[in-house]
Amino acid sequence: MIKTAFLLLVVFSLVVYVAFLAFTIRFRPRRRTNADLARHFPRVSILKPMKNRVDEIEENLESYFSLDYPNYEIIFGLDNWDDASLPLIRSLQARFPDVPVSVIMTGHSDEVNPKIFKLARMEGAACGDLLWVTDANTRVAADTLNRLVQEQRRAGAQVIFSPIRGTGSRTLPSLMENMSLNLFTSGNILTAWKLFRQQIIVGKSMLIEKVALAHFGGFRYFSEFLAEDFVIGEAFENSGFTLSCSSTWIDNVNRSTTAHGFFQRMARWAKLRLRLKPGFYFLEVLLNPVALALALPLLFPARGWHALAGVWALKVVIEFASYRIIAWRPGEPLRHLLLLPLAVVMKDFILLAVYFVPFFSRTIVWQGGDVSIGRRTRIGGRREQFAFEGA
Amino acid sequence: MGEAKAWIVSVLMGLGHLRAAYPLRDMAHEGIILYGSRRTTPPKEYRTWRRLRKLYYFSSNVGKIPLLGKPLLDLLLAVQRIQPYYPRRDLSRPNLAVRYLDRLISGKNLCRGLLARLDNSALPRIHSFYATAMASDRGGSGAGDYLLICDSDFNRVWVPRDPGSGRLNYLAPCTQVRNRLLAYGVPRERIFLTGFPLPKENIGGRESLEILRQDLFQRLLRLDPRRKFFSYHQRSVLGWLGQADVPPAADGPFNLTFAIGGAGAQCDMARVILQSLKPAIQSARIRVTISAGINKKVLERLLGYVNRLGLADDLLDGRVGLVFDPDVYTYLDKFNRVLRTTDVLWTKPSELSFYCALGIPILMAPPIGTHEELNRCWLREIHAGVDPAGPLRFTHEWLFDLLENGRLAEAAWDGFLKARKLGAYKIEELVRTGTCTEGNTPLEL
Repeated sequence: MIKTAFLLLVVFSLVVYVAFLAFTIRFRPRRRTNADLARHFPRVSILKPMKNRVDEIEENLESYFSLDYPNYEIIFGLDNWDDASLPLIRSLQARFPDVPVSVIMTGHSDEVNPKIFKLARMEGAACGDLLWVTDANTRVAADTLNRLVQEQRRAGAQVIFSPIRGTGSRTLPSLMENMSLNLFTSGNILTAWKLFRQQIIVGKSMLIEKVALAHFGGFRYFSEFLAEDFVIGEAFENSGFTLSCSSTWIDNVNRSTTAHGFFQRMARWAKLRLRLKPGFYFLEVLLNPVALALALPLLFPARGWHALAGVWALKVVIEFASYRIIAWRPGEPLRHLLLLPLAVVMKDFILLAVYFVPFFSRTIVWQGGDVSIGRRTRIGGRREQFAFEGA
Repeated sequence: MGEAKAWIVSVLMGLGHLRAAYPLRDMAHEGIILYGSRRTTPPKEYRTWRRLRKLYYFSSNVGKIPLLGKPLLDLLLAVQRIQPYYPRRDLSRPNLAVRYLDRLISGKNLCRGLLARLDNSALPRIHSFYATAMASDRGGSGAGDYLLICDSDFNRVWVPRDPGSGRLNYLAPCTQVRNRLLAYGVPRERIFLTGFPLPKENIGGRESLEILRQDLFQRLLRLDPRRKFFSYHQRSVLGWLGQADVPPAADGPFNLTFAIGGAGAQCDMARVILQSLKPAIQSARIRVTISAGINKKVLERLLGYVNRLGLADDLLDGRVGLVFDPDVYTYLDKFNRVLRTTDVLWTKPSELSFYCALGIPILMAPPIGTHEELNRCWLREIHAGVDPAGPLRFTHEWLFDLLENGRLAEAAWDGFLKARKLGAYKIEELVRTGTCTEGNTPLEL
C-alpha cells in the first residue's frame, strides 16, 4: 500500500512537470502574430530600479531603448550619483536621443523593501498612464511593450505579468538557474494562471495601471514586504482589480552565476514562498521527482534501480525539451546540451537541500544586508535594528 | 507668556487614544511618544503590549464569531462594565481590572521603558491611555502627569487603586466625566474640564473659530435643503456664526463620511451602505467617503466592494472617496481634511462622538462595548447623535428623509452649541498657566 502510494507520488510529480512543459510550450516565446500588436499607445513609463551591475547590462538596457513602441519614457532609479551604471545610462542616452530618459537619485533604505523604496520615489516622476516595472537583468524584444499594452487593453487588466525565460548561460550554475526559471518558475506561472486563475507574479516584469496603483497610495503601500511582486498581485486581486498573465516572455540574463549565488537565490525564493503560502510550500517537495526517486531502490529492491534511472531519464528529457524549445538560442555552445543531464540531476539535488533551508532560517541576504522576514514576507528589520531604539 | 511644552504619550490601541493626542502635537516635546510600538518599547515589554493589542482587536470583532461570539461578547461586556452613576455614591472601590493593572505596573514593571525615557525631565506629561499615566505618576518625577479621558463615561480602571494619593491630574472632555471622576474618588482640584482635544485645523483661532464657523455654515446649508431648520433657527445661526444672511442654495453635494473603526469591524456595513446609495452616488445626489483607517486589509476589502459594485468610475470622479494611509499621522491629517466638508459622520460612538462639537451630526452605528454605549447616551442627551431610521439596505430612503426634514441640521447645530470644542487650546493653557477657563458660551466651550 505504502509502496503504491509512493510510486503514485513519483508519477504525480512527473505529471506536474509534463503539465509545466505543456503550458510553457503552448505559450512559448516567439509564437506571435501581428494581430497581437497594439493600435492605441497610452504613455508608458518604464521604471528601472538599479542596484549593482549585472550580466550583460549594456545589452539589457539597450533592448529597452530599442522598443518599437512610440510613446514611452525610461526612468532609472539609482542609489547615488556614484552608481556604476550611470556612465552606461548616459552613453545610451547619447546613442538614443529620441527616448526620453530620467535618472533619479533615490537613496537607499535599510528599513523597508529597497526596491519598493526606489519605485516609490520614481513613480512621482512618471508621466505614463501605465508603469512598467522591470529589473536590470531583463532583456526584451523590440515588440514586447507593444504586446503587453495590447494584452492589457484586451483583458481590461490593471496588472499584467509575464513568464520569465532564463538565457545566456556560460557556467554550469547559470545553466541550472536558467533551467529552473524556464520550467519550474514559468511553468508554475503559466499553469497556475491558465488552469486556476491564480496569480504568481515575478517582479522582473509588471505592467501596472497608474490610476489603480494610486488607490493604494502608490508603491509605498507595499514597502513592508520583501516579496513585493506577489503581494502586489494579491492586493490588486483582493481589491477587485483584474490581473492577466501575458504570453509575452521576458528574458532574464544569467550568464555567470556561481554555485553559491545559485544556492543563495534559490534559498531566498524558497524562504519567501514558505512565508507566502506555507501549505503549498510543504507540498513542494513532491515536485522534485529526482529526489523522490532516490527512495525507489529501498522500496522496490528488485527493480528500484531501474525505476530510479527511468525517472531521472524522464526528468532529463522533460528539462531538455523545455530548454531546447524555450531557451535555446542559435549559436549557443553544444556543450550546454551535453551538460544538461548532469545539470538536471545536480540542480534537483541542490533544490532538495534548499527546500529545508527556510525551516531553519528566516534571514535573507539581499542587497548588501541581512533582512529578517515574517508572515507574508513582512520585513522585520535589518538585524542590527532589532535593538531597542527607545530610552 | 511662555511656550507650552509637554511630553505627549499615547498608544496605538485602535485609533482613539492617538486621535485624542494628535491635536496636541504642537506642544509635544520630541513628538508624540507612541508607547507599545516596537520602536519605543523594550523587546520584552513589547510582547505584552502586542498581546494587549491583539486582545483589543479580538474583542472588537468577537461578536462575529459563529456560536461562541455572543457569550464571549457578553463576558467581555461584563468585564468592561461601568457602574451606573445614579444613585450618586462612592464608587472608589477598585475593581478587578484596577488590581490587575496595578500588579502589571508594580510587579511586572509595565512602562519601565517609558519611565526611562521621561526621567530627568521637568516637563509635564500628558497621557491619553491610563496605563502609561499611572506608571508615570508612580515614577513620581517631572512636572506632573495629566490623563486625558477619551470617552464620555468610563470604567474605574482609568483611576488608580488609591485615587486620593499621587499627583495624577485628569482632563475631562465633558461634565459627566468630571462627575464620574468625583464618584471614583479623585479630588476636585485634580480635575480640569477642558473638553476633548479636536484638531485645530478644523477650528481656526481660539477666539474667532473662523474655520469651524465657516465650515458649519456651509454644512447647515447643505443639510437643510428645504430650509426647515433655518425657519426655526436662522437668527441664532446667523448670530453665532457671524453671517449676514442665508443664501438660496448650498455649494456642492451632500457629503456622507462613514468611519470604520481601527479594528475594521464595520467593513460589511460599508458594503451595504454603498450598495444602497449607489443610484444616489451615480446621480451625484450624494458623495460618500469611507474612512478605512490604517489597516491594509480594510482598504483592500473596500476597494473590492467599490470595484464589484461597479463604482470604480465614481471613485475616480470623487463621488466615492476612501481615506487611508499606512502612516497613522498622515491618515489623521487626511481624515481631518475630509471632516471639513463632511455633512454627516456615520460612526460607532467612539471618541469620534466628541467631533459633534465641530457641528458635524453623528449618525450612530451600533456601539461596541460599554464605553461606546455610554457615548451613545451622551450624544442622544445633547441631541447631536441621530439613530439610523431604518435598516442599512434602505439607507437611500431614510437618510434623505432625515436630510429633508432638517433633523441632521438640528443635530449639527446642537453639537456645536452644547459640546466642548476648545480642548486642544485649553490643555495648552493649562500646561502654560496651571489652570484653564471652562467657558460659558458656545464659542468659549
